[in-house]
Amino acid sequence: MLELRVKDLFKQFGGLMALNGVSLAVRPGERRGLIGPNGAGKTTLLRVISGEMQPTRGEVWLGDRRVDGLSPEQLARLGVARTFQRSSLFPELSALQHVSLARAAATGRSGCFWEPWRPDPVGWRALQAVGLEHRAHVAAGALSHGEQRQLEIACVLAQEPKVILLDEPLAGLAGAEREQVGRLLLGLPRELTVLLIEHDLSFVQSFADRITVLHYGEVLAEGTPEEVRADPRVQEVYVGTGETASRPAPAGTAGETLLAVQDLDTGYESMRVLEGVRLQVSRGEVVAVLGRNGAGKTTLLHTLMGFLPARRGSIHMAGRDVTRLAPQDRARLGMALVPQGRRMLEGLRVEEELALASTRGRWNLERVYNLFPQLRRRRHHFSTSLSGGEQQMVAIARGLLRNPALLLMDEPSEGLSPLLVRHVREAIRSLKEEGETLLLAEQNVDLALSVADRVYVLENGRVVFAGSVEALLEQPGWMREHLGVG
Amino acid sequence: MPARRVPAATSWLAGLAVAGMAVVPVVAGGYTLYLATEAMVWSLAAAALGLLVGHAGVVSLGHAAFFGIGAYSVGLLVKAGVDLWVGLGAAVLLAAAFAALTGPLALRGHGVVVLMVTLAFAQMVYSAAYRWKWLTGGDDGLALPKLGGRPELFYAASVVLVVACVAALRRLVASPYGQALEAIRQNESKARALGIPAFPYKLAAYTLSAALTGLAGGLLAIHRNFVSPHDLYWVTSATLLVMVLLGGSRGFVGAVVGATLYVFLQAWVSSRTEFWSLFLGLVLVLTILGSREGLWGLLVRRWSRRA
Repeated sequence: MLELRVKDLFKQFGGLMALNGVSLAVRPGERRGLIGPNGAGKTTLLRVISGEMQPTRGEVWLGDRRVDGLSPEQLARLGVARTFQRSSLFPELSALQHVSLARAAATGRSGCFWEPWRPDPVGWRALQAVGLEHRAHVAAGALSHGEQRQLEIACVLAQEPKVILLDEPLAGLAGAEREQVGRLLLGLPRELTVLLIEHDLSFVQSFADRITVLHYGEVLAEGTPEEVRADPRVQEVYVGTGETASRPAPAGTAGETLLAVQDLDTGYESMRVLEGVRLQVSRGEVVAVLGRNGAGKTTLLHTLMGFLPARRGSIHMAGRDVTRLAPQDRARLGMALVPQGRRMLEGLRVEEELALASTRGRWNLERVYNLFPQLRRRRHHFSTSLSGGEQQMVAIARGLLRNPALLLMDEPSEGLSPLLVRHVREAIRSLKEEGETLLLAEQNVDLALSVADRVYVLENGRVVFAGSVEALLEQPGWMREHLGVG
Repeated sequence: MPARRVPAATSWLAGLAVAGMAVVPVVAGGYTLYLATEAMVWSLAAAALGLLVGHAGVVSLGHAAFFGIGAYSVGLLVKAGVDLWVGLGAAVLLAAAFAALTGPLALRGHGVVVLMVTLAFAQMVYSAAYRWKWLTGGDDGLALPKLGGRPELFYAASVVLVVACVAALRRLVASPYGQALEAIRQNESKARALGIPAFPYKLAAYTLSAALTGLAGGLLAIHRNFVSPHDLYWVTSATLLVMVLLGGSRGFVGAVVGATLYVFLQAWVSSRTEFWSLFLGLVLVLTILGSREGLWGLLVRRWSRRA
């Protein structure tokens, strides 16, 4: 049994402070849940603890040993095991080879080169424990998404670690597979110290002894699941209060239908992400797609843009069927995407980056600078050196300069401080007044409801709500359950 | 996992190939024997490169350095009157030492970075050999006295050496260390999270590969009675890579097949037409389009399907 402690941890990426003085102590044998909106710094914290990243400042302790600065392999040998957010395996190795290798590495025998590899009994028991022994000789790349997750847990068990870091182990799982992996996690040995990141809050509450809430790289709250659930600050982060009241009047009568999505199914390989999504955006409307992380928001925007093929269903843009068109053809028909995470181009100054995106039309550099005066002041700086909020403005400006008929925005508030979120809100409102058509994917309910005319709520890839903002606000209980800390 | 289905077919094919390889050239003698020996020497280096390319996922474009260091070690020491065996030992050790020195820089990166850094180091060795005329003879190369005894015996010894090295390398990749290398190739961050020290493991494979390539270089000097700076030129690295890709980068038998095919095809085609490179390019493109595992992989797959 080992205690895991983190003291005053800072991690900076360019203009973004991903961890802003995080401290927490997970007692030996404790199960700790780590929650927070997207961009709160949860995965960064895990990566710093596991040695994949060096902190800008701060300390990590394992029992009475200071471990920040150690490499991932050194930490693994000290008894730290982790799973990754996306299934992370060796596609050509069999399940049995995985657990045997995990065992060999944990016991320091992975350097043995004179005798043949042999199946390991502890590894075999780990495979049995997750119910994969009948798939022992199948290459990991041929396993289903759920089985891959099971195999990851089997690898962790085979390592016989003292501390486990789990990064969204249920992400992308549905139905029976989700239940099975959930049961496996609940059945982990109690003497293990566990730090779990998960967006499925009902699961975190059933799993964790205590919960830490991260927000903008800081610890917002910590306590038992009951305490955290009752904490008004936590409610605010997830559902939000107040500011939605000050929303402007809906934009009169909606124009003709610009975007129509019918019965859309999409997914990645063995994983189905969207199921039967129907959605409509009229000219001049601001429509928000809400949902927790992993609900399928980004996948939806990527499918609309053509980065991912639709498995079923259709997408019509201005009356034209674009379901089978390539992204550049959809762009020509007037779609533009402001991607999540902003994606600044390395080595370009703000003005160069904007000039690259410019097309002829109603939006030009001058008008964009009027919308974001800050960018005019910063136009000769490298875009990667800007703060997170300024980068978001560059990303939005880039989208506008394409002069799209429909602008898709993927979590424009991600990783931004409340003040910067307000800037983004104002920018979206002025776009709305200018008559732009926007489809916005957001986790920040406050922001979305304060700018949108209509709302869709996605959950596990399905639309569970479609209607006006008012209709949604009339059901605070339902909102808490589907969007907040329920 | 096709590897579990085919061992019977592979060993049959390999046995047949080895028998043919050992008998035919000795009977034929002359130029055929000369080419067959040449093929064995290149096979050893190609198999060594196969360990990196096919198993550790490290694509080196600098193996000419190890090849050339091996050749010059033997050439210079023999000229200085040192025993041939000591010369071969020096070929192995110096090539390994150069890898152990440059590896830490080359293996910090991935993909194209490794390619460029290994290439740069090899070209440095090439220009050194080219400039130090007083030591290496520069462009004229080093002419050596006749070494290595009777050609049939030297050939037989090189076949035994190649078979032994391929067997040892196959055993190596079947060990836990070999599995760890596979893991690093397929997903390095996951391997490290499991506690596998990726960097030292890759460096060890790199050094071992260099040592074997150095040995092959030493054998080349003995076989040709001549060392040329051309053996250090980057084209030699590219040739080795082509051999590996042609035959198949995994399992080492493919590398031997690729090297043998290359040597014989080159001799045969270039005696008939000047368009050897064009021909080679075509064969390589067709092979890679036809099968990602190279010609040997294709053959094994065909064979095991029929069986």
